[in-house]
Order: sequence, then C-alpha cells, then structure tokens
Amino acid sequence: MLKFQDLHIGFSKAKRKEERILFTCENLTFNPGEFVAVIGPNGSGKTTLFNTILGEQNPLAGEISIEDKNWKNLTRTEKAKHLSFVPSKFSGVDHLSVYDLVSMGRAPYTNMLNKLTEEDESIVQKVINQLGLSDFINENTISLSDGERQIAMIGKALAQEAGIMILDEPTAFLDYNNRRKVLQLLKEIAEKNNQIIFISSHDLDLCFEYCSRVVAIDTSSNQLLNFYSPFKKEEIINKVF
Amino acid sequence: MLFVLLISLVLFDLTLGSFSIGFSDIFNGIFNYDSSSTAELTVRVFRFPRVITAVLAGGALSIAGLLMQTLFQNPLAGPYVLGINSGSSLLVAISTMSSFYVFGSDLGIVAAAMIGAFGAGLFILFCSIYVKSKVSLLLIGIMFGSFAGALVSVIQAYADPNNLKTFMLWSFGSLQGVEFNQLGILTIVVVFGALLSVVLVKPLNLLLLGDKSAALLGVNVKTIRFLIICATAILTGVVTAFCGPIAFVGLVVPNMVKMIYKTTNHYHLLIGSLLGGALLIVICDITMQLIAPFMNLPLNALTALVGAPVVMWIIMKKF
Repeated sequence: MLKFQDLHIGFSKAKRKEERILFTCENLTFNPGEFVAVIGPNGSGKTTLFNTILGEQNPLAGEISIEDKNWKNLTRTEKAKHLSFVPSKFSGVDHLSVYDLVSMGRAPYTNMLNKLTEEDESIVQKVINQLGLSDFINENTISLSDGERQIAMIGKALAQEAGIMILDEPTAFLDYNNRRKVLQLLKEIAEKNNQIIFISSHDLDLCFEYCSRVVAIDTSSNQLLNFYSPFKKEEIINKVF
Repeated sequence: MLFVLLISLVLFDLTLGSFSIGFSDIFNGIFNYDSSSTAELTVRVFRFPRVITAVLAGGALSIAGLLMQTLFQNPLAGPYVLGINSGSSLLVAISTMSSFYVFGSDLGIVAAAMIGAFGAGLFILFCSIYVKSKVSLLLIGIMFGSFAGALVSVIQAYADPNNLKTFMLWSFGSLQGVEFNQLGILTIVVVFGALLSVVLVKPLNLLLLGDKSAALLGVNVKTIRFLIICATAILTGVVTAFCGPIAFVGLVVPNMVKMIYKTTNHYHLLIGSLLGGALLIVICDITMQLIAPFMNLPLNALTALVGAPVVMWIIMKKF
C-alpha cells in the first residue's frame, strides 16, 4: 500500500533556479493489485513524480509512506525491497546474460559477494518461467530485440519481489505488438502477484484499455486527478490536455 | 587453467636471465638460501624479486583497469589512459628530483605515488560528473596526462643529473628495481588493494546497469565510486612506485578477460584479470630475457608493442 499525503511535487531551490511546484495532490492511496498509468503532457512532471517516489529527490512538502512507514526513514536496501524500477531505455551490457540480469534483482537480498542462495535461484527461475524468458536465459542482453530486453528488465524488477514496480515509459521504444504484449503482461503481473504497478505513458488508448486506474497531471489547475476504470476518455483528455 | 599456465611460466622465467639456472637451485635459492652459491644468490637477489614483481604488477594493474572500465562504463578506460599513472609520476618526480625530500624513503615513494594516483583519480571522477560523453572523458584523461608530463619535464630541466638519471630509468618501467626485502611491502599493498576490490564485487556488478538502477538496488553510488577510486589508486600507486609507469596492461587485459570469460560477474572478472595480467607481464619478461638478457629492454616498449594494436582494434569494434 502506497500513500501520498498533501504531496507537493516539483524542483527544490537550486543554483540560480527558484523553487518550482509542478503540481500538488491531496491524500491518495494505492492498493496492491492496481495497475496505474500516470499521464500528462510533456514537462508536466511524470518523471519528477517517479523520481520523488523513488527517493531520487524529495517532495517539496507532504509525505510518501509505504506500508505505513515514512519513506524518508528507510535505508537504501530496505527501499530496494519495497520498490523496483524499470527505465524507459536499457541498451544492454555486453556479455551480460538474461539470467544474470534477472538475478541482479536479488541483489538487495544477497551477501557481499552476490552469491545466490537456492531460494534466490528458485525465485529467478520462477520469474523467468512467468515471463516466458526460458529460451533466452543465456542470450547476451546486447543482442536481444528492444521488446525482449524490456521484458528481461521487467524480470529483474520482478525478481526484486518489491510491492511496487515503477516503469518509466515502458512502451516508448516498442512497436505496436510489443506494446500490447508488455502491457498485457504487466496487467497480469499486477493481478497475479498483487503488486502495485505504475507506468507513465503517452499511449492514452492503450492505458485506458489495460490499466485499472489512471492518474492524470492537470497542468491548468496543477493538480493530480484520479480516475478509475471504466474511463470516460473524452472527459479525461479534455481536462488534461 | 590460467593458474597452472601462470605457475609454469613463472618457473620458466626464473630459469632465464644472463645465464640459465636449474630448477633445484631455484628451489634452494627461495626456500633454503645459501649465500655462497652464485646460482642461489642470483635467484634470491635478482630473479625471484623480478618474477614476483612481474606477477604482482600485472595483476594489480589489470584489476585497476577493470575497476576503471566498470566505473566509467568505458572499455577504453584504464589507469594509464585516464592519467592516473601520470599523477603518480608527477608526485614521484617531485619527491625524487626536487629539493624537497618530503618522501625520501621507499615507503615515502610508495606514499607519493599513491597520493598522486588518488589525486588524479579524484580529478577524473570530478570531471566525469560534468562530462557525460565517454570519448571526452578519455580526452580529458589524456590531456591531464600530458599536463602532468609537462610538469615532470619542467622539474627534469632543473633536476640534478644523478637524480634525473634515476628518474629516467624508473620511467622506462622496469621489474628489476625491487629488492628482496621490499617485496613484502609490495605484496601486502597489492593484496590489500585486491581484497578491497573483492569487497566491491556486488556494487561493481550492479553499476553496469547505470548509476540510477544501481542506486535503486541498494548501492550507495557516491561511496562506492570513492572506494573504487581508492582501490585503483592503491593498486596503481604501489606498482608505479616500484616499477615505473607501465602502460597498456590495465587496459588490454580486462578486455581480453571479458572476451574469454563472456560474463559480467566481477568476481570471475577480477580473478581472471589478476591471473591474466600476471601472465601478460611474465610473458613480456620472458620475451625480454630471451631476446636480450644483458640489455634490460624497457618494459614499456614491450607492453606498448602488444597493447597499442589491441587498443586500436577495440576502438574499431566498439566506437
């Protein structure tokens, strides 16, 4: 369970830059099993919102709490056990196999030498089976197609066994079929593993089709608006864009 | 496999020199020393230190190269290219040739070389925050190297001829400079640096995904970067202090090892680099002894002969 309380999202005061609030949101609660799309125009603050949840930057005001624990007080490793992240573009690392990539998700749980225990290995195996990656486990991540690599990266995040998974524009570099495939997969994962999944996207139609909830950044009133499925497309689009 | 090959080549190397020595004399010279026997004396005083230095120097520089390549996510990074060796050279030059003998003793030189390496490492790390492009960072490293080299030339111009000669011989890169009783310092420091790198295996693996992903998997990126620079400085510094600035080994060996092992697990890569680096320098040494046992060819000439073509090949393949 993820809670926002009186959150003000934006950039804090930095060199030669004034503090800038992008948007605010009142109390919002996200429950396990929800597949949430964050939508909004370019520059409205989707990435900033994610960075704030990820702890890369601090909220200007308000609080984020996970499982009733204040986010600020957790250590890095504890955070990694609650939250996993998939970047929009991962171009692969030479000689890194898909199996090793997925195993990296176990890093918050392993010892200093990164030795996988039997339990870790069975979790990695489970993730690989769930995503249908078993044909690729020894492939070099640099030679995969963009879609396969995206799914392998999702595998890494799944192996982390975090309650919340955040994907920054997961469909941006994929073709039409792969977009549907990835979103369908995420939808299934959210339901089956009872995880909260956040994506940001500009693919409104696909978001409305697959997600169970849409959070929209309204740039005119600078607020975070909340909609549940079934969505009234016209209304949301008129309000936000 | 590499290990067995290394051991046999080390033994072979011990027999080579201005005259050949049998295996029994080598064994006696190391474990059962009798100073009246010329063969045993030679082994003890010249050959054993030379070969062990070769092993340690190669291993240390290769590990340092591997650390740099992962830290900067750049296959062309290495202690020599990024100017870390030059930082060491500069401080060694200051301490051997200038009128301030701040670092007079052996340990002093080691300390000077490490501080130089560490300073250069921090400088490059600082630049890497502002310079995102991989190629620009290498260029900055090369420029830093030239700058340090120019300062060394200035110091040389004012130096006392005797000190100058010592420094010039040092800068050719040599395995002969280490004496039997100095081996201890070299070994301890290299082992310490290597152990520090082993502790960093997990963060090193995760850093391959990029700083952000690594941080979100629980890595404290700032601290880890600092520790990687420390380990590199220790390893490069101590080798540079004793053997002079040896080029290319740190760059070539990790790339070779990655190609052979086909893994990104730094636990294996570290061991591979250690053995591979040791092997390369021992082979260089054997070659030198076979070609010209009396001449003492500069080690740098040989590593560059092997290294430069490999570097060109990497550039053609990856950039």
